[in-house]
Formats: sequence, structure tokens, C-alpha cells
Amino acid sequence: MAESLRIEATEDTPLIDFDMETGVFKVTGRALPEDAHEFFKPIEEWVQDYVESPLETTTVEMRIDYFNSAATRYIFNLLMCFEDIVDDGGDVKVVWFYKEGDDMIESKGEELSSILELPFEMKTL
Amino acid sequence: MAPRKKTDVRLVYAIYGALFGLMFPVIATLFDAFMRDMGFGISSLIETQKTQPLHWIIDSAPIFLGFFSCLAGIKQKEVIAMNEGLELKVQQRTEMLHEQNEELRTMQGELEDSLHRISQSINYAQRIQDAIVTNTQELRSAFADSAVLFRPRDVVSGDFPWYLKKGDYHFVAAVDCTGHGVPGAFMSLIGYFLLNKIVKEQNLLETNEILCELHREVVRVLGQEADSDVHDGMDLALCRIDPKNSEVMYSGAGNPVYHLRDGDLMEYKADFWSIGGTQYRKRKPYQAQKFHYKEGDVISMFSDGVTDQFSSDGKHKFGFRKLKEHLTANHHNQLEGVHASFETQMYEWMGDHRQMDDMLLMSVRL
Repeated sequence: MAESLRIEATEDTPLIDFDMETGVFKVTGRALPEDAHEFFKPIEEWVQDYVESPLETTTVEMRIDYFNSAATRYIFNLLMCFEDIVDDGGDVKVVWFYKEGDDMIESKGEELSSILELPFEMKTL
Repeated sequence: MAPRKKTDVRLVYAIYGALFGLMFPVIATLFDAFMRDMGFGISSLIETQKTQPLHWIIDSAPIFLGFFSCLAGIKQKEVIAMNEGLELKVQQRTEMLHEQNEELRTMQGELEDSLHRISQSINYAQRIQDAIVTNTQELRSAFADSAVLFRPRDVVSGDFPWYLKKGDYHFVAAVDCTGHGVPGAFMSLIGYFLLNKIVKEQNLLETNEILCELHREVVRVLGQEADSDVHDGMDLALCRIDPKNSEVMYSGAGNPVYHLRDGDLMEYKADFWSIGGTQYRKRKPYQAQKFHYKEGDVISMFSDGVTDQFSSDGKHKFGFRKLKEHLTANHHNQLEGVHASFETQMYEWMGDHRQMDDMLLMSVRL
């Protein structure tokens, strides 16, 4: 079994807390890294390994309150990796959190849910 | 610094102690001789000593006092040695601090120098970018009442306004390349020249076709077909204005267009897909939307740097609502003025908060 993945938050990057004990994968905070590639690449690689042999259930909790256009691409890519679990008949869902009235994050979530082939749940914080 | 050569403090203490001790037998002997009326001759003093055994005890005073003084001297020597050690340490530390200070000063100088050179280089780059990419004169000569609010986060920018006239068509786009600063500026040049090439040379005139081709070209130019490490690309709103038919054709990659008429605002939403970047399995071709306009209508396009800007307390984003409200409330005013007051509103909104991304707002009165 893979090790849990945890990357502490900074002013410009979110907290990554992918817990292999619970199967809850949290992304929390702001995502506007100066170099989006450098930040997201290792996370994407971790997820690509993970989806090869995922846990019984996986819940991806997105609690982002800001991301720039470069980060949007990487977040989309990251979530797209989880589609492999669905393709293999596994159990995975994305929960997209947004603050009441944050139309930007809400509309981004809706956009992503319409494109990604993943069970997608919108929740207000 | 070598310690000064000093007489051993132990010896000095022992001598002083012994001398002090010597006073006891001398005084005792003289006093005894005086009391016994024996006179002060050498022989009488010897006699005094011989006949009074108490003197023998008193005679040992110089030895004992010399010995104890010597012990005190040993302690004193230790104290002196310790003090000297401390002084030496303080001196060494001071020298060390001084050296570090010097180093820091040198480093600061080097940093200032680097910063200066980098700034100069970027300022130079800005001149190039200004000359090519962000030149809005042609747009103004085609549409007298048009305005471009352009606020790079750094000196150079990933956002750029684009205008091109081709036949009867006017093409206007607000382009937001991923990244900002120098990498953003590189992307903006790629985007600018590709758009020109696609419309001018390849004669693609349908906005959806232009975006599809732009995507293909960005992927090709940046080698993104394979598993590339370059995920960059751009979001944009692209409009084709056709004055003959009073029609606007719009396609968007991520960014919408607003159509204002008499204080009403219509929003045309963009397709989700950004230009360039990862090859999504499910990517669909871009769509086009068309709408008719009346003279005096306004179209506005912008980058997400405007709507995503945090407030001074860092808690709220500017959002779409305030932008829409500002545009509709001022729809009859000169667009330059509308943008100027919008910029003021934005300054007030962001206060001391740093600018998050490049900002671009383009408005054209048709």
C-alpha cells in the first residue's frame, strides 16, 4: 500500500492531505503557485500510482478558495486521473466545497463536474 | 593579541603576606626588649628572643601569612585568567560580527546589483512587448469609443489585447496566457503571432475555427502532443465584429463576453477548454455563438485576473457581479471613463493586497 501523501500549505499552495488510512484525499487552501508544474507534478505522479491499486473507497475533497488559470489546468488533470478508478469499476467521488456566494468557485466546480466522468458532489462550506 | 608579561600574582601576594607577617616578630621583639629595659642592640634583641619562647611562635607569622597570601594569590590569578578569557571571547565575537556584517553588506550589494540588472532586462522586455503585443492604436482608430484597461502584475504580462482587421471583419480578443511575468510574456508573444498567422495567412475567419487552430498550433509549437512538461496555454474571449451585418461572432476558451445594450447585459459563456495544455481525452471542438448588435452597443471582455482579485483583507474575490454592475451602470458613458472609474474601484477593493494576476479589461462600442 502506498504511503499517505501530505504537503503542508504555503501562502500560495494548498494543503495536500491524501490519507491512505481513511481514503479521504483533501486539497485545502489557495492554489496560485509561481511554478504550477513543479508543485502539481509530484502529486499527479502519486495519484497515477494510486489509481493502479486504489482503496475500497476514495473521496476527494476539494476545498479550494482561489486558483489561478495555470492551477486550474493542473487541478483538472489531477481529478481526471481518478477517472481510471471509475473505468475499473471502483468507488470514487469528488466533493467540491465552496463558500456560500463564491460564484467563481461554484461555477468552476459545476464546469468540472460537467466534464469529468466522476461522481461529483457540490457542497457549501 | 599576546597577553602582557606580568609578575606572577601568586609570588607578589606571598611576598606581601610574608612582609606583613614579618612585622609581628619585629614589633614583638622590640617591644619586649623595651619592656625589659634591655636596650635595642643586636645582642640584646638576640637575648630577648632566646629568653622568651613565645617569640618563636610569633616568629612563624611571616611563614603562615606568606602561605595564606599565596593561596589568595592563586585564586586571584584564576579570576584574572577567567576575565582575560572572557575579554578575548568578546573580542573574537566582535571581530566575527564585524566580518559577517561586511559579508552581508557585500551580499546586499550583489543582490541590489542583480535586482537592478534583472529589472533593467525586464523593463527592456516590456518595451518590446509594448511595441508588439499591447499596442491598442489600431483598435482605437477602428472604434473611436473603445478602451483597454491593462494592468500587468509584474512589468511584463501574460495578458494581452488583440485586434486585427481582415476584409470587412474586425477581430478583437482579450487573451490571458497562463502564468504572468516573464513566462507569461513569452506565451503572449506566441499567442499574438499565432493569432495573426491564423487569421492573416491561413484565412480562417470563423471564431470557432480560429480557436481550434490556435489550440492545434500551441500544442505543436510547445511540443505538447507527447507527454510534455509544458502545460501552458491560454484562455481567451474572441469576437469577430461584422459591421455589414451588424453581427458579432464569439467563441471563448474559458472567458466569456458581455454584450451591453441600454443598460442590459447579456453574457455569452465560453467553452471550458483552454487553448494548449494537456490533451484531454474528451476535448470537443470550440463552438461559436452569434448575436446582432445595434449602434451604440458595447462588448466587454476580460481576464480572470480582474474577477479573481482578492480584497484588501484577503477574504473576498472581486467576482463577476461588481464588474457587471459597473458596466451596466455606466453603459452610456465614454468607455475610457468607464474603465478609469473601474480601475479606481479596483484599487479601492484591493487596498494593500498584492495583485494576484495580470488584469485586462477590453470594451468596444460598436
